[in-house]
Amino acid sequence: MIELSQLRKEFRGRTAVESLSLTVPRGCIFGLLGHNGAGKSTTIGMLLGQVWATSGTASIGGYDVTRHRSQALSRVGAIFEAPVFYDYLSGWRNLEILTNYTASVSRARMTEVLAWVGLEGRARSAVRTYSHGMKARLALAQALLPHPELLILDEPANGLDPEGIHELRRTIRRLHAELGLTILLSSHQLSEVQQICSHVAILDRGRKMFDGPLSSALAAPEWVRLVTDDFPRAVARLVEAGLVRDSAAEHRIALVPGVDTASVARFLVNHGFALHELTPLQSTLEEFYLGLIQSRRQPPVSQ
Amino acid sequence: MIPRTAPPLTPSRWASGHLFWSQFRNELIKLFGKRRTYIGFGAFLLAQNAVILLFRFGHATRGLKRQLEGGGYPVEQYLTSLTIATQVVLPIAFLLLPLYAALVGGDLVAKEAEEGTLRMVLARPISRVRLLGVKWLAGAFFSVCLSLSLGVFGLALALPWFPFGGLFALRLESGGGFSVFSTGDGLWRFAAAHLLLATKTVTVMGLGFVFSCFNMKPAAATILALTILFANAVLMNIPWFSEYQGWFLTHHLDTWKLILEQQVPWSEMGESLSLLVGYNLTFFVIGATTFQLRDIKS
Repeated sequence: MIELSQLRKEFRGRTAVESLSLTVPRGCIFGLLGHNGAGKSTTIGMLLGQVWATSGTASIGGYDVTRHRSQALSRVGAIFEAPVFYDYLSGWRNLEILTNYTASVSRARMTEVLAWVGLEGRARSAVRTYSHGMKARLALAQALLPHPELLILDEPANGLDPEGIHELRRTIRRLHAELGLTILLSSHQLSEVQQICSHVAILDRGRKMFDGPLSSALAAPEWVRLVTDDFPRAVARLVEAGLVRDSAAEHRIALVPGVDTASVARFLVNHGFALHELTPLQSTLEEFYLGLIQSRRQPPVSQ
Repeated sequence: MIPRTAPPLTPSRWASGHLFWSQFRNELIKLFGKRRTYIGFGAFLLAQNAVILLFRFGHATRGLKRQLEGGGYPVEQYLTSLTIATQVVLPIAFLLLPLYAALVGGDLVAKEAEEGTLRMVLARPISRVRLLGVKWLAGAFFSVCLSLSLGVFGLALALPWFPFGGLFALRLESGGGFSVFSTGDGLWRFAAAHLLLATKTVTVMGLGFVFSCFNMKPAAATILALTILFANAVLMNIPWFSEYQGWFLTHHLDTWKLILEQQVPWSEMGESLSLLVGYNLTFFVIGATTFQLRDIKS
């Protein structure tokens, strides 16, 4: 659905995004993660043709955003951090105005979308009378008009209270399940991303640190929880045998790459240990993210 | 809802044209939905009313009467609502009209950028040049309305106090002089003057619009446009620069006054109007190029 190839952006000599290549598969919920200033919004800006790339290409649905912007964006809806509207006009009028920058849309379709987001009763009121939550729903309605296939959400959870975040999460799942939309979500709220995204990319200071299915980010096959009758002795024997390279608190051991839990279990049983638990651990996205970022920022060890 | 591999929404030529008019209409709704758009209209009503009341109840008509009597024209035939409305428009068209035109022109793009709605708009497949095109057209429509309102308000406010009749047009610039027209001819000249005044308003709005396309606050765009305008006017009025008058924008902005001359200098008017078209095109191209090259960020 989205292809970024060697995308680069410099602002007055400062590199905001560096050689970013990324593929967002059709039908997935893709999380673009990174701290403030990591390059997420600049990347989305380049994807929407709002920010000119210094080099590289961005395409949506096979259309280059720079050369064929109207085709590339014709089936894209976008929501930004803080929903802003012409607040002196009604919600209905705002939808009409924004949608007409893409294509004409029937009243029936607008009514359908307003009902979907739950704003049908207040569509004719001026937007300045809306609560923050209603504005967020109006932002979603405009993004769903006229007929998007891809939804780009730039930091949508910013400024929302826990209830709002829960509502947002539920809505994103509905958008994906009921409307079959591909969703690109930029955020630095890792727990939210972990709960809804199927794929993630992590940016740090404009560079891509990771890109792939969430499951591969969360899987940490080398760390295993081991509970035996004598943990220190078991670890020492496993290290001697070349099966384990490290251990940590809470009964955690790190397997040597290529070694599986079955081999460890067999070894411990054969050597007379009482084995109570041997479970591969899943890391959280936060642990994975911090591990990646810290590994990049650690100063080189002096010789 | 929609098939997963739907083709892009590329409108046909007819649909694209229809969409253009919808977008233009929407720009008008945005523009005329804001209260600040009406500041100019409100200020005109107040200023024109004040000046007309001064003419009616003060001694301001003495000079006019002297001029008429000196020229052998009957006062009762020419001290009319048409004459007063014309006298009122001259200072307002010099000061207030450019102020409100530049205010709206400076707001058109910069205000949307400042408030964040521009980013929402440019997440849509509309091209930047087309967006500017509909915005400029909406600004031009406002400028025409503002210019015509000056005439309509002036006449409507003067009619209760002065009789309807011929037009006595006194020049305020150095050199002085006046023109005298019968009722029918006067009304025609009065209407044409306000239509031509719209070329000034559109151009000033266009000047504000250019700066609005740069990455700056709307107030800065308005102030820059007015600075250029007033600097032009100051330079043009320095006596030693009189031979360079044709080089100043403000000289051509005053073309509308030529229609109030007894003998209209059509060639001079045609030349100035052509130059104003050129100025407007240049402003738009500079604005569009700048806007096209800009990064739109939050």
